[in-house]
Amino acid sequence: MSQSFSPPAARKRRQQKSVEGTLDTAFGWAIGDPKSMIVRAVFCALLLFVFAGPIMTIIVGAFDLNPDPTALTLWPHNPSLENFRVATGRGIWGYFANSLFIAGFGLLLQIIVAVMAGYALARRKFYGQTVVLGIFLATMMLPEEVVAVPLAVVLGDLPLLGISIRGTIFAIILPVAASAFSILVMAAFMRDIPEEIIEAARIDGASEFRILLQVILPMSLPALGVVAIFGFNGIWDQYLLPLVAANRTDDYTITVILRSLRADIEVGTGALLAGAFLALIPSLIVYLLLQKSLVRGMTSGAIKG
Amino acid sequence: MAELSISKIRKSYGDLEVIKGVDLEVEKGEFVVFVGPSGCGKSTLLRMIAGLEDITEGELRIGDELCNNVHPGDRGIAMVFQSYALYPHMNVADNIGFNLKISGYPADVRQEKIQKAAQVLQIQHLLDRKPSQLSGGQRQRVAIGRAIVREPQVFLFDEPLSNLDAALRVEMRMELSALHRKLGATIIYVTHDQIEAMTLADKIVVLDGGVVQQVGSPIELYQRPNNIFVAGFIGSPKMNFFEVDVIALHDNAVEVKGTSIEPVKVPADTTGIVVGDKMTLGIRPQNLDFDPNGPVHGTIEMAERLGSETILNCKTADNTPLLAVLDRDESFAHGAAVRFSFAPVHSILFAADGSSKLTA
Repeated sequence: MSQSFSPPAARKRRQQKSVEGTLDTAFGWAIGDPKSMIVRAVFCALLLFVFAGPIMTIIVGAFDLNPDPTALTLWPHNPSLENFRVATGRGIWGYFANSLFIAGFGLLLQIIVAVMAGYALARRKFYGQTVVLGIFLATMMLPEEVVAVPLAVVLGDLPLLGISIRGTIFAIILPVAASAFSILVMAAFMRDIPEEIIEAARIDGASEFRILLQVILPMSLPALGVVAIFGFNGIWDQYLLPLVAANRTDDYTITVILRSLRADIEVGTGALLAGAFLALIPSLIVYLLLQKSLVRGMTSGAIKG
Repeated sequence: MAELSISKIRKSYGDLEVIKGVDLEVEKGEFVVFVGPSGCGKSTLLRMIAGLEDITEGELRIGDELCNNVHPGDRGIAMVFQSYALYPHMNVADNIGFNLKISGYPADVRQEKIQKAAQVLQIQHLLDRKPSQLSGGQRQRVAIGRAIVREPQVFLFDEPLSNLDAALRVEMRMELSALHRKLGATIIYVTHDQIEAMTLADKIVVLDGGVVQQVGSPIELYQRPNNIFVAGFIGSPKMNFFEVDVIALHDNAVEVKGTSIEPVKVPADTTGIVVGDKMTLGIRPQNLDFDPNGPVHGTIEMAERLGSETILNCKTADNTPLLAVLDRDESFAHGAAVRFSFAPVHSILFAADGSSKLTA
């Protein structure tokens, strides 16, 4: 005889719903029940307000001639592109291009480094592997603010080479070329690839590099998606690094210049929101493009294939 | 000259030696099966031949080339893995043709070879599919196709049928046998299933504890095992073993007696045997006949009625397991006392060190 450990009331309610041909949700809210529908709608609206509110304010405010960030509206009262004209006057597109170049080039380097280092950590055995892994992990524990000043010093006098790259675009790109998070994500994913597939490729005559490029990498696409999204956003959102690494304001990124726009009394809130709107778009596009990979990458290994 | 030759090969992981000096010659076109229990070193030996494990000591020659340090891709071998190891992101045609692509074959030659392999394995209709869209048997065929297309000197199979269900395993076994005849290929095949070994092999290599126990044809191993391990491993159900005492010696025969065995004269090589020695008598379950006056006696624990035959699981007076296969369906009561007779010529005596005392 089967046993049930549900409280009698809950069991009774479930049985009742079951008879009516409806389904229970995890919270015990029956689908189709008006009362539970209202509770859920209010709950969802609250969540939506908390998360989407600021984004709505940016979007609506960017296209409003006289935006009021304190008022949440769904549509601009005075629709206009004037804010973008003002922001353009302040050279926002140049900074946007700087950001795009740094994020694009930096992400490319970060992916290359993550793939190769991840492969080495996951599939090769070498002395000091645990120490290397520990150092990678340690870098994740240091906040950006702690690293900023020593980093600026290092960029001013690169070890071994003895040259300074401060004031160049590479001073912003080089530090983001390696990310412990990206390396660990790739390593964790590659570790799950069956050894026999790699051995089969080896017997097929593939070199180590070809195995990585044509066997491991295509199988690691979900992990690449995760690395791309987090990596791009991480680089795009950099504030302190461009600030300390750049010598001229022309080399600033959009995140740095947004701060300047905010402090600029000649520029209204509208231009600031227009700049913020522009800063929002690339991350959104990257996320939408790689959303499927992100979900697969984050959940891979959760269910046996 | 042998297609593959192994000479005094050893493999150690630190202090642990897993292959302890194996010698083997495989002739061209031969189907050789490595068989043995889990951990006996059969897969390790195969992987050493493939180049997936380093050889600690000894020589491996494929053709006339010393291959100890040759890259797996350059050894002239192809391997089929237990898990098939297909590239999941490539379709069947690309899986089969991956090696050809690496080897630099032009696209048209590649296509031709892929089509030919697909035709042999009857998988032409699957060439555009991904491995995830295939059944276990189809995946196995693709894995074999990937090996065939390379036209290797030696095919290596590492327990290729273990992941298939019983019916498919029988079907694939027949297909593999047919494929071997068709291609005339040299095959080294690893399995723990001795039925697979018996049905497929020209030559069986029985391994235990990293040592070759015996090499021979399936029937040779069945009828003339070198030692008690081979006798127990080859044959299903397993051979019965009884502790016996030598009570008399004759010309090419030894008379023995055990707790549940009445005195019986067994043909044997009497060299080194003296009266009073403790020996082991081996009798295959198929060689025991139900006989109320027979010299072997025990009580029935369980009778497995399989329709065409009945397997009797018995215990002797000293609790030694006793199996008998009767070639008919018959019911027996649990706990019933039974007696069996056997033809002494079909039994084998083993010395205390486990070696068989078969007559020449």
